[in-house]
Amino acid sequence: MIRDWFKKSKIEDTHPSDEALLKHVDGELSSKEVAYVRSHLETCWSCRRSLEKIEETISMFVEFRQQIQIPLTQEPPNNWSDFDRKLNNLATLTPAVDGSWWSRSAGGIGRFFHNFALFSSWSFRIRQTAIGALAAGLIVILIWQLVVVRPISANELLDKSLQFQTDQINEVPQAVVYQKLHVSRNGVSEINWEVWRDTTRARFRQNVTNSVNAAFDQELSNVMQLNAFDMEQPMSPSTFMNWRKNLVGKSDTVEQAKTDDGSGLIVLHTTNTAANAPGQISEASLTLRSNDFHPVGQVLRVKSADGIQTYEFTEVDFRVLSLTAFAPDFFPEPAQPQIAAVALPAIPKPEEANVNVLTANSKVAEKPAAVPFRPASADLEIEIFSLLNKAKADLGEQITVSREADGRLSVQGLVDTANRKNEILGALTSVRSDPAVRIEIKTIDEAVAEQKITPKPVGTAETVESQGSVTAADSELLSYFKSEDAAHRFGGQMIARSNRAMSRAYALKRLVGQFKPDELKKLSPESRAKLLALVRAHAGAIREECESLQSELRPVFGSVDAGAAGTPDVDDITSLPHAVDALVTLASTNDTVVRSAFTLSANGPGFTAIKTSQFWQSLNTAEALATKLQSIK
Amino acid sequence: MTETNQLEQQITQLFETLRQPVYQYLMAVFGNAEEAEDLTQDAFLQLYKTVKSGQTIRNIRFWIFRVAHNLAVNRRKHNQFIAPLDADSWEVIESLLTDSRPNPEQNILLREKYERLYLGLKRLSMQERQALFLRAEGFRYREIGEIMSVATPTVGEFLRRGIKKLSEQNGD
Repeated sequence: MIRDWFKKSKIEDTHPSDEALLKHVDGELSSKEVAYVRSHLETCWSCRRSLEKIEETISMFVEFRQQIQIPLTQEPPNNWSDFDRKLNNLATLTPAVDGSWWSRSAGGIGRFFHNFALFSSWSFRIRQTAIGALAAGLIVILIWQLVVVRPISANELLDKSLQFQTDQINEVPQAVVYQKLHVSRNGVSEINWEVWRDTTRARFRQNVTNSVNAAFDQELSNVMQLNAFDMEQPMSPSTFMNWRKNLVGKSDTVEQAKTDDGSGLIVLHTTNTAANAPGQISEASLTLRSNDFHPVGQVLRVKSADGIQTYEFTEVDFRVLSLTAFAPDFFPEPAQPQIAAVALPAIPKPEEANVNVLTANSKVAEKPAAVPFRPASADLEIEIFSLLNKAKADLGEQITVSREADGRLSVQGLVDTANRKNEILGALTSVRSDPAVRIEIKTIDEAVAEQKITPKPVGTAETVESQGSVTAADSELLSYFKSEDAAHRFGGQMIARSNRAMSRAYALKRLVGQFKPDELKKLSPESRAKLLALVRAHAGAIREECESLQSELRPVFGSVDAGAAGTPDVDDITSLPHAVDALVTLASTNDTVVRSAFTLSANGPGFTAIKTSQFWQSLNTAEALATKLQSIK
Repeated sequence: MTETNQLEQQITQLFETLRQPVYQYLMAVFGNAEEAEDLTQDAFLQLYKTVKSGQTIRNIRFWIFRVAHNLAVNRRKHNQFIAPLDADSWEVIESLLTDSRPNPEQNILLREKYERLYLGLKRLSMQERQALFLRAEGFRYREIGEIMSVATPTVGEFLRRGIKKLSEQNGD
């Protein structure tokens, strides 16, 4: 309210506000304002004392920071040791644009031409020597670039591979990933294995051909399941990543190799240093093409009673196809009973690959559908919320977790893009195979294609803006901001803040509203800790949004000292449902007021509840209740 | 030396000069050493990519703080990563002050003063804290507003409230 104070001060000798004094100390006042404050301070002892207090506090803060906070700050745990390596990797992978930073940088061009002029004035012999030295230098750099392998970590390599594959999938509408692998054991050819993975509807089909050893299929299946390898993606960056992530102890090496025709390969070797039980993979390697990081080979070394068994996977073909190219009944629906071996319908086959037609020995394996299951537990439910939270999928998007009549948990969602869908499905990997969980995430396009919904945007808080030219709070906003653009931008920001608080409040409601107080009491310690961590995170975010709303609204509308009303006790986990209900009501009331102030109003500028003590009390109460929930233990 | 090598060298020099204040800021506001180290490095790697892609950066110090701040805010949004802001207990702080002054009376007064300030800092909201520490790094209100994505007058309000809370804790 500095402007108000300064306008008033022209009429009467008003004391500068604390904010004006602070700005004066910080050199943030205009010259006219500075002149006024100085002249006022010369005559006003009280304001001189206020100014001294501000300066004392700043001085004390600076002293505390230098004497206590900085010396006590924990040293970086890795002592910045990663930076050079990361920078080198980045330098290898980031192409420079035309007209590099060097020639654009200030003085760079000038220096370049200056040096060129000097070069031209040198004698012929010196120029020849210089050219020779330059050429030699370039050859050395070229050799260095060819020979020296830039280090790249296992994580970076797998991330890149996954990114390339995700991009490839995203380019195709309703993508189906087809992969054909040849698998051998200890150097002896065993099977050809084809998998089709419907990325949009989480369906899957596989086909094993040329199997000469009936027991091998089961043995391989056991090995993969025991080591948490995804049977739907037997050789993929995400499967390798998940296996590697869960190892207790590991060591990695990355090396370069070449194919027979000279193409570049990168091989990641991971050793499971804690492998000690039969069936565990003790060592695995994934071979990627160096131009697009696509996996083309995989070796698994597995401990067994007979020593180490080596399983070698070689990719014969890989394609990303559109679901529209498949017959409607190609993929079995999850609820269908198991289907006996059937001939494959006409599907797009890779022409150049040596595809085996189904033989007497071949079989089509389908996902078992009628697997018996126990009803989902409350712990499993919290695990799902926690996984969704990690993928930021518990805010704003249309994703619901509900319990079906048969006791299964159903996770249903509608998202904007296939990429987002893959992210969410990826986050739910650990529960996807649980028979008590049913997951159905669709993109809007897929849902529209199925004509089950009317398309509508999946909005996020950040995209909400006030529209129109006149709002109820226009007179205050224009008086403060002096420009319609700035005023409307501010209104949009306030609505977005309130919307974010609402999203969090609803997320809390969805989370806690699933449980009765008795169920909350019976949670395992681990689930209880997960639930409370989620509650604290949501409540903390609501508190911050309430605080920010107050801080940002106050300069425009003035402050109303309203205090907070009483809030429910939050003394144990069973009090959560009641407290969350109260918080949702408060957030909703505040949201209504904020929206009515900053959205287009038919009545034009006029009364807005945002200036009332009731609104400020409600905002304070929401903040107080969120603070209580944030400290629940 | 190639252009890329020269750019790498310059970024490394900048990193060595600016990493400590950026890290200190992230630690003071977000509080997790591993994350702060990681984010500080990411901000400089981002700088490398940005410069190499052909963009011009006028005020590198401001740019680095803004990027580091945004990376930290995004990390918090994504992972619900909220580190304990004041994990350093008062006992640890006290140990730093032990017998740091020859005069015991002076020492007690100093301890009391710092304890009040410590308690005051705990009362600050995240944004008041951010504004205060950015101001202590010498940024103008306009720059702080850009770093925190709030209007300049709001920065004044955050700072006023922050100073007021510290001052109240001091008994004023």
